[in-house]
Amino acid sequence: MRPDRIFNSHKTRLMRHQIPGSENLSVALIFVALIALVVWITTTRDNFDPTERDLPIELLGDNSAQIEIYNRPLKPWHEPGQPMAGAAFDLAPFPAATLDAEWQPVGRVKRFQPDNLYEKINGEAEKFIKQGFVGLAFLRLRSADDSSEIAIELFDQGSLGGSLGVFSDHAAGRAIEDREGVSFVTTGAGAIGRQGRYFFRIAGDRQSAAITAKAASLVAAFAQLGRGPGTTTTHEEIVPTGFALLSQRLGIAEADIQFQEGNVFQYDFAQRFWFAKAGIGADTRLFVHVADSAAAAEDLIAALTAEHRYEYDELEVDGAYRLFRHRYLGSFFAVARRRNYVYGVEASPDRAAIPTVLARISESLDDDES
Amino acid sequence: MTSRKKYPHADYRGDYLSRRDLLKRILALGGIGAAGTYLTHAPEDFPWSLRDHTGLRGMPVETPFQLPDFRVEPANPGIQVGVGRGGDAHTMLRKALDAIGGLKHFIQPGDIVLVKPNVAFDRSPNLGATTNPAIIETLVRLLLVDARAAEVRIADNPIESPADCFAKSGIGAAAEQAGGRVYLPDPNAFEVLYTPGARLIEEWAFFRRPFKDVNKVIGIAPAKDHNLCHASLGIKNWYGLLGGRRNQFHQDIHEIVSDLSIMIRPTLTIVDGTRVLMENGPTGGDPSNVRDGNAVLVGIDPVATDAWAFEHLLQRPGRLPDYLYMAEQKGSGKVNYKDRLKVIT
Amino acid sequence: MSRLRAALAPRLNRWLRLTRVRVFSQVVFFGLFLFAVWATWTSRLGGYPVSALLELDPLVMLSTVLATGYVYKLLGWALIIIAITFLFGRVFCNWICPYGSLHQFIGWLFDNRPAHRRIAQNRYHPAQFLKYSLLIVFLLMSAMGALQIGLLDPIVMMYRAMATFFAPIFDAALGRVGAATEGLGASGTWLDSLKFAPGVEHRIFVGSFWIGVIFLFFVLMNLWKPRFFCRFVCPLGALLGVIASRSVFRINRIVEKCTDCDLCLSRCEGASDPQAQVRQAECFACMNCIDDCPENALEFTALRQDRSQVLPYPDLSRRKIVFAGALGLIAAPALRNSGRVNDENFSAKMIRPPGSVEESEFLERCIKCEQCINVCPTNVLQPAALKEGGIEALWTPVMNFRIAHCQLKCTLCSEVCPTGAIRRIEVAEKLGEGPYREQGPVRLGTAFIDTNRCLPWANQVPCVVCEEVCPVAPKAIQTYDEEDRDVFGKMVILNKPFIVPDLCIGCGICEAECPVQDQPAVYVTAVGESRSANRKLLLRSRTPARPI
Repeated sequence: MRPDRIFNSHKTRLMRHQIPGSENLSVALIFVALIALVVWITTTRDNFDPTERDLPIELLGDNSAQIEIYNRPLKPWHEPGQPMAGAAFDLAPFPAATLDAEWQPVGRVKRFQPDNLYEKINGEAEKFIKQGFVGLAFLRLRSADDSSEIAIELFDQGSLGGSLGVFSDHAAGRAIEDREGVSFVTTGAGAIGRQGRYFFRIAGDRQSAAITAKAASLVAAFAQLGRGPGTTTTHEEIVPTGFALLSQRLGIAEADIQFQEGNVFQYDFAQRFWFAKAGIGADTRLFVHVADSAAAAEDLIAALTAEHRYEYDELEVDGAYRLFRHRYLGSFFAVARRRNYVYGVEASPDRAAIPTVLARISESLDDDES
Repeated sequence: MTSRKKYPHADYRGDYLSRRDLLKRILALGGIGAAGTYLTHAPEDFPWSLRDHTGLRGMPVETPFQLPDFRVEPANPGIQVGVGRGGDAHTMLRKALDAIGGLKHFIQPGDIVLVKPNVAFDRSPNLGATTNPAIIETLVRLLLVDARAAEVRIADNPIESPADCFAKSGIGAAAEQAGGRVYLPDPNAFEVLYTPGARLIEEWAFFRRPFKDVNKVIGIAPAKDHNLCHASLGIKNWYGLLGGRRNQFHQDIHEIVSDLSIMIRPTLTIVDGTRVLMENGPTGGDPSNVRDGNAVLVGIDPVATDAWAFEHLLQRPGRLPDYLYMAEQKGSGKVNYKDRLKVIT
Repeated sequence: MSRLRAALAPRLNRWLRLTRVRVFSQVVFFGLFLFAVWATWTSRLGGYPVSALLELDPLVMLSTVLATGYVYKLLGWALIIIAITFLFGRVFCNWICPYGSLHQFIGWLFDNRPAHRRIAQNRYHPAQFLKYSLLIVFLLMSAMGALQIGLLDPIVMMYRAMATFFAPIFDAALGRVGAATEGLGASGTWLDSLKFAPGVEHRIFVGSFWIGVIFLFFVLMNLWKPRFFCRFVCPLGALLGVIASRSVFRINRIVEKCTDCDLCLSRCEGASDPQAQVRQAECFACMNCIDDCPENALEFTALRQDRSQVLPYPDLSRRKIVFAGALGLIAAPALRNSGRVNDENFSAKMIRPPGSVEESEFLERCIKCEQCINVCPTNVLQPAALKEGGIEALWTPVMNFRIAHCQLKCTLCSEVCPTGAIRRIEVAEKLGEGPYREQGPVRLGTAFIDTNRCLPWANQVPCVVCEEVCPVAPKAIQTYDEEDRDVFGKMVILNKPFIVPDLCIGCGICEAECPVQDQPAVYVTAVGESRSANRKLLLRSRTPARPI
């Protein structure tokens, strides 16, 4: 043994001389018993299933269904110093009929301009601004009966052309209904539609009869949009000439009429064109543009012709009338002028059908001369 | 009697220090002193210098890592979302995968695939708060057997106890039965991830360990209601790979979810619409909140996948959650799923 | 063949002796103890008897019977140990008890004394009566409703120190090794199966340092006096000593053979004087003296015991018994009067795990073994410090929601509790579903909002993490939604949370996840806990579908 060692340095020595056989036997028995104990304990594991310590789903009650939670409506911001809401509640541009006894507003009408539209509809904003967006009014309504909600977005697109453009994007392929000058499509829990220069989206937060009914009454109420006292919209803003020509004179369904604000035919000088199905091929459209004057119309056709020559062969020239054929696609493009009206047909597969269409447009302009 | 002075130690010979030894000792001490002086006083840019004049040298520097892009060119670029409807979970997953060109197009033999389910809570699978384990099992089997992946890893960092969540949701057992390997988080498993372009999580702790050597990533999320961001779908699922104090993100939830969409570019995003948690999300807990959505989506474009799931699984008419538009702006995909979708019933 | 037998037989004869099997038994039981602590985890628990050593502990049984009048669940198993003690004496101390094994091992490992001092240190010391006095004090306290044996019961100390002190240290070390080897091609999780708590971020245990210090203090005392704890302090040893007094087997000295060499004392564990009249209540039956006797004068036997060579009973005078009794009689009321355990001055943070019985009942049962704390998968359960329950409730389990929350569908703590302080409950009972709908869910307390710290209430910043994570359906945190213009002029919609106490179960996930971390803006206090009729908050529930 050395005193500087850390660990015990004693040798274990067995001092006794004899170990009885009975001790050997009992020791062997204890060994066996201990090993048996270890084996028994390590095999006690009863293939535990985690769901065992969970609740069977049948026992779970439908608490959410049984316990009614009242959600206090959103408390709207009230600018201190301003008169309280109520009489001063500024609903414009929504018509008064937007509200009724059952449906009351949640918060104020929120208004957005082109520069902050993205705050409301980030990502979608570009689509509206492209079509002449002027302002958005947003209002949420809550039902007093079952606290379901309806959100209304009312876009002022500046002109009927703009609202029509946005609407035709949304309505593509769906059945369009018309009620008192409001065109709309019905969606799962609301409606999308337009009236005059306004485009609107109505969306409920669930599908219910109450919401469907309210959406229908809202659509009816929106017939008054822009026609209330104090509005200064002119007839031209409500029904532009080009649109009137196509829909009233030529009798084309409103859903088939489209408006393009700028960059028509990919030319930056061509603006404000009205399009409609020409009834020839699937992609064939007739178009109308109302220029400021006959001279402006003449200039437009000249510019169009000059640009078209890069891709088209010029087949016929007759005064203001031009007929082109695309070099690769082989489709025909015709343009003509009458007074300050520029009209024509694009992407027609059939050369023979073009004069009939142009004649129809030209005839419809006759009435105007009288 | 002579009295002579007696020196008792007259024979003693001491061990005297030689001049040479003294010199050696002085040199050694001088050397140690000089070295010490150099280490402590040499300017910081000198080699071996330990000097830290400003206290900034001693600050820990984390070197963030970047994740690779896990996306694969789609078989048909026109189809970004596949939807399988009708039949059990297994059948629907197969149908959805067939719609986008089959799993084999996306997974090469020998790939190491990470599958990220949503195991956020210790709920049983039929409450809709976690991914359906049947889909996990099918997916892991398809990956290992059909696509011959070398390894399939399953990882999540749940809110509640990870071991419990994996056990109670049945996902741990399902994954391991099919041959996958479950990674649970621990403090050493996180590293700082650098995500260029992210506004809130440009540098943030990320569950790195299971991502080592991984070359394909598949997210597989249940469709859930979420109180703050309206829906927890495929993109929100990546939240479960973040570490750190995640609870601050609720101050700007849409920003964080759209950040998640650029944090990781998954090979596929699967949305499990077998049990849709319609309300009281994301925790659920009540069977009356769960609806059978009868659909499984497999998306290449996660934004379009989530948009379809939001409208058709959660059945929310009207506007999509803001974070989808923000994700589109950040370039993760397109909200518009129309014409980019194939449904197999 | 016979030559082989001739060569083997003496070896086998020497090998198969009692001291050998004793060491084997100690290793087995220490291993089983470690296995029990290791298996006390959510992914491993599956049916293992992880609290068995506590249930075998006669002191746990006796004191809880004295306190409550009943034998909970498996505590009757302690009769096995009592029966063994009747037969063989205090074999528990030196063959089974893991703390005893640890003491013996440490004492042996560092025992570097010369032979004469080894003999001297193992003579009986008069102060060994102390443990009997402690036993008397603790048992009297138990009978009066203050169960404190857990402070010194060796099995309890062992479980407590392993779970709260050693396991986190060990796990952290394994985690480091795993992370370090990750770069070398290992997966980083290859050591997880060895961890006590795999798959969690690191666990912390409030005040576990002192648990470890006390544990290690007694271990290190072996360097000064071998088996210090077992000889002087251990109340379980004292109880077993009393039971062992008239055991069937004991060490017997054959005086005719004895040469008074005192070699039997060199390794005597119990300091029980085998060289003279053996003190039966002190003897651990370690069998070392038999091996150390060169004259074969000592034997462990039932037959031919020399009745003049034994002192069966503890060395406890009537005087000592009276003093200990007096101390025991005033100890329990003195603790109670300390003022923390009552229905007036209870701590708001004294939140007990689900299934806990009413507080004074709880303290009649809880032995502070920390099995519940060890099994808790979220780390919310913590040993109570003095601030929560005073000295009486020290180290009893308490929920600390700043660390984590109580998981909705977890009842593991009630499953492992050996004494019924946390009664065994099913998930259905915890949630108040199925057959328990009438009585409602187990409520641990009630959450409150501190509107002075809550981001939407106080700072005009949107948040509501608490509402998101609230696990009950419908959610017990609802919001007032308000439009507001914040200090920078921006319009924000604030969801200001408030608590619905009729629905709140006090699970604390809101407090754990609140971003105002240091002093959460939503916090749970004990009022409204369903285990106590005197700590109710609401007169009745406002919704009949969810009784309180």
